[in-house]
Amino acid sequence: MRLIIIFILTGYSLVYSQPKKTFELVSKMDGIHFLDNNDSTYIWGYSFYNSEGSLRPKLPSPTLMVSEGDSVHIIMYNTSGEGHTIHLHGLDADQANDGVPQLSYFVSPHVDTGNYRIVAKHAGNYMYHCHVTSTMHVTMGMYGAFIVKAQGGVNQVYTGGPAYTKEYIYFTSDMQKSWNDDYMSIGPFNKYKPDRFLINGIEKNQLFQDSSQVIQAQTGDTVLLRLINLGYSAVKYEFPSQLNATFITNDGRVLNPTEKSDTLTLFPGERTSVLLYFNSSYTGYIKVHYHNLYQMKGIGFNEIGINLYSPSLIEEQAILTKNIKLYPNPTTGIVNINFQIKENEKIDIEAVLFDVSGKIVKKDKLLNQKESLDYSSLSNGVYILKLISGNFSESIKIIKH
Amino acid sequence: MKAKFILIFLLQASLGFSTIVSDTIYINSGFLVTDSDSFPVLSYNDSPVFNQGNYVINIQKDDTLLLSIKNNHSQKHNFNIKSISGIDTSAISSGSLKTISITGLQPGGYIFYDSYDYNSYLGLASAIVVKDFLHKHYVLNVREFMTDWNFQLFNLAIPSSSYLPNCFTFNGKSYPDTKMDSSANIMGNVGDTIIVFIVNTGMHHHAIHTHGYHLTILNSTKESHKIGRSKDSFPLYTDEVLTLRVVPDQPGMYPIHDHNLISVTNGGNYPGGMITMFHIMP
Repeated sequence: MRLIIIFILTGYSLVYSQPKKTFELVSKMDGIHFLDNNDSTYIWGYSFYNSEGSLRPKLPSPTLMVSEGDSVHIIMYNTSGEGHTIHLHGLDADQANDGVPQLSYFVSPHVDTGNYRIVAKHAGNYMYHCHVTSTMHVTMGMYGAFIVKAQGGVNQVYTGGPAYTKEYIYFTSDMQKSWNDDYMSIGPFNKYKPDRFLINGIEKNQLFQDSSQVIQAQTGDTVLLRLINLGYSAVKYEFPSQLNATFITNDGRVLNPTEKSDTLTLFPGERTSVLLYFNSSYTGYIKVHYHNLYQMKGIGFNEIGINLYSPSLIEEQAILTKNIKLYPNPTTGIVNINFQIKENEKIDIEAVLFDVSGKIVKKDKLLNQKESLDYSSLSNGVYILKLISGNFSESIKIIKH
Repeated sequence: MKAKFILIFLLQASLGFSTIVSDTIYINSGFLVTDSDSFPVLSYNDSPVFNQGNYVINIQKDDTLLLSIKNNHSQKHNFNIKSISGIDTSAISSGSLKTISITGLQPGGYIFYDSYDYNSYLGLASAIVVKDFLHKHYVLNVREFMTDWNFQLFNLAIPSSSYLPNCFTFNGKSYPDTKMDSSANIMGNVGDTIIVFIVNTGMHHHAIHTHGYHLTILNSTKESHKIGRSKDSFPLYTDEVLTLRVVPDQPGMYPIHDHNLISVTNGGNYPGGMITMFHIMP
């Protein structure tokens, strides 16, 4: 009897020996999203579960990051007013975990829970999205990136593959804003005509106002771009030729041979890992063109900034990027800023507030660890607060409401 | 009734035995019916009776195809094959029968079509498969329509509006009708090798996504540098033929659909259009 139990336990441990990774998500239909020019609209999506009440969804939904070989369990709580699922696009889930309501199951409105289990077999870039009335739920924003890193989470494109020093995820999608504005009258679905073209949910100037969207590299860096397209458009990237763009994986599989090219087109659903080699000084842009799938007519455009910085100044930059607390945001007027600094360190920072057109609307001097900025006289909207110290600056989006 | 006769004779001693395959296709007109629309189309069929699913010609490597084309439509038509030169593309007048001989096709998939005016758009485009394999194979003929255009073209008018398709088909059927079409449902067992030809005979590019499995590109007539890649999302350009191989490693039912989501609709309603399934048994 004891031998049988040991045998069963041994077998169990072999089957489930992979590291386990669990995500708890809540499907939500109450998101408000800001686009360029202070435009706002409604979105749906997934948020991480929080026992105190989950946050409103953002666009895109949270990135789920695991390592090759991980056993992954996604729990989705549906508290919204419509049914939802999670389809793990490209991960080849079995039928029960595929998230197609007619073939797997439907996570009912208000109280239902969905459980999705897969083993992440191949390093690469994937996505998850709702597969209920996809034409509507995807358009409304129910999607996010699912990244499978190399075993152990090391910085290799795939286990044993080329190494990289930094990585960025660029998730392209699009939106016909009037549909999101008034989703009760959405459709007919074949007449979808996107007019907002997004990277990680934002567009145009926003991609420069949010410094995390700009590739920050120094000479010698190898930067991995994880490019994912879930729009209705074919997205064509133009890489600067100086960066020797090399495509390493596509749709979660290693390319053999790899492909070197200064252009890459991703159709809806496709993903590619691209390495950029910063062998020489370069500052500029990656151009991103959106084409419709009828005659490949250009319908949208974005740019991804590339900023080459000097390694000797990293420490000073860190003062601005890591040791700032800014709250509340969104704000009704007063914004508190706290700096954590070393003993005897002096603060001398200029706080410049821009509106979305780039016009300076207020300037303040920050000299203490704790400062309060009064923006109560400003009209509601999106602003960019630029903190400038010496040669360096950091931009933070502030929403006044 | 399809007339298909196989004759075997010696062409040249140096070439060995070659097979002549005789086949007949009929140019028919009728109505393509989905659960939201009914509109006039043309179709290549294997009998004089209209069928909204186009006939696929299958031959073996080294076969000579002796193809008879019967024009049952009121207008003249012709016959051509994409990327193949030397085809007799002269007119086939209404009611007439024309026979052509086609030799030397390399193994793979081809699009045959009518190159006059909008006839290909109206439905006269299908596939020839030249086999050099023994595996089970399927052909998905991907085409979209704008139903208003079809009515105008059948009335010999030039389409007056910009192209905004509202009907999306695999093998002449839209979901849910694709569920009942054995030609559009890929069936097999775990471990089988299945070859899938996807041909785009429409005016839109498409983005075909497979659930459950990655498929290997054996050939692409538009992007040959992608041959050998294993993918789940496939760009499909107009006039492209993709040859794919799948060896299913898990049982189940998994969708195959266009991920340009306007295409999974019928008359603007979801679900519909370009959705079909893998049915894989253990």
